Amino acid sequence: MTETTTRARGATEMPVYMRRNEFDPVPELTALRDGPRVAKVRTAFGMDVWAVTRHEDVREVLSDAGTFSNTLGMARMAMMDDLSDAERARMRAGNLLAFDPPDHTRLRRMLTAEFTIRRMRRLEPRIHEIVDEHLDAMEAKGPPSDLVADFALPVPSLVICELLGVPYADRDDFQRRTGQLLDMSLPMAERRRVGLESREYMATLVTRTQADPGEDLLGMLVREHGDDLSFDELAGIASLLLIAGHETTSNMLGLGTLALLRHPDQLAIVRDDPDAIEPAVEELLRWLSIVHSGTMKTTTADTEIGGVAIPKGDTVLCALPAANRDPRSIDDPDRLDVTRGAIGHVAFGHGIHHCLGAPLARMEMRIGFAALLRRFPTLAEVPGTADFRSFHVIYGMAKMEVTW
Amino acid sequence: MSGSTDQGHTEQGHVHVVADRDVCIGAGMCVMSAEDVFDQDDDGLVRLLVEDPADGTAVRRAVEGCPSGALRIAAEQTERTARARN
Ligand code: SF4
Repeated sequence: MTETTTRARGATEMPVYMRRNEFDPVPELTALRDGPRVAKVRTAFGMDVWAVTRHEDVREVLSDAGTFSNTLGMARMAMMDDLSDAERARMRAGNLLAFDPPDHTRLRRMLTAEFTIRRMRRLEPRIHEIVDEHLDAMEAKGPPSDLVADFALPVPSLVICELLGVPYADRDDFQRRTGQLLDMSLPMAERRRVGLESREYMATLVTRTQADPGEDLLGMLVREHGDDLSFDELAGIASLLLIAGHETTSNMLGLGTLALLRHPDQLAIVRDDPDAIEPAVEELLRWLSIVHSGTMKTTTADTEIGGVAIPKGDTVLCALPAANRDPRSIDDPDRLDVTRGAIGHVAFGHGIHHCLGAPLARMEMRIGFAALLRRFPTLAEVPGTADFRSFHVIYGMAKMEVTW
Repeated sequence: MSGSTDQGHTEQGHVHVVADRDVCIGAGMCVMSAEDVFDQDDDGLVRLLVEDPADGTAVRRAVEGCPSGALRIAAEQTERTARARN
């Protein structure tokens, strides 16, 4: 923990809802959950917000978009920068996480058809291929291998790029920018510069797609909703999906593999029983909860959460790792048990903003973990190489060497 | 079909499930929990394959797990449903 904390540059201290001891939320956070339940905490930007920590309360907040507004929450965050209103509106366009219904519903409806379970199943063979190609390359090169660089990062990255229609050649640049955008240890100005750079890239991509819409998701959006969606909205949607598709699954693959390596009995179950993978992925999602908190919400009226009064106009965040390990909702919550098979977790959020890509992420993880563990049955961590990446919107591994 | 909803009052029996497509966000969680009861149409929105499914446990899990609150078990509102029918 001390090592990861010192990695956080700048004067701001890491907020309590982002701090972890390796896989676990810090005791300060769980004490908050088991004590005051809802309490004010300081964010990385120095703002005081209400942290909601219990499973039942988190579900309640996330189910009630009318009271807990993402639009206002985003506007609050945006006040921290010095952009003009027009620039801010441009940055926000197409970002589903920055809108409440009915604006959110309009955008989400256009995308749901692309992320159905059935559509995802059609992608399955291609995901197998991508996974196998990377395992082949690891095998050919021989151990040791940095699992993050050689497997966890490139697999979801290729999948989302193909799904969206991002040219392969642009991938490296894109990966770098995404990593920087979500790296909270970088100075705000630098993150903003990268944000604009990323926005520009998206604009080029959208222009290209509008001229020649292909079979991919962006092409479909242009063909079917080209009249409804503004240029900025298309760029915003593409940007959100690309970032989400890169950073989440890849960190789950890295961190999840390390979690299994450190629980050999659990790893053996996943490796040896093909039916074990589905519940195992759910348990890893729950136990690791790599998204520290959802987006910030701002209350539209005086309200109350778990008996604590929250005035109108205050900001609320949901501490997902605390909620997913709430002993009131699950037995022995700190134990990793891949046979639980419970999908009541909030790792993908809840309510109308529930992760659009959840079916894709699940499929990538099922295929990825199973193939990795079967290809290298003797997979082992190189001691001392696991580098937890903390000061980041999404928790995960920066690096982690393995042998076999 | 609606005749079997009365059995929905028992723990393990049939349940009468209602899906609100205006609320559904197409997350497909229900399809994952109970594939023979729920499907998604071409727009990704929930479609009921059976209204009074036999596997109450899986359906309850789907209802619980639906992130948008689009699913509801109607037969559990025992008295009101029964009275409305009479
Ligand atoms: S789980 Fe709920 S939101 Fe998701 S597809 Fe089913 S009904 Fe719709």
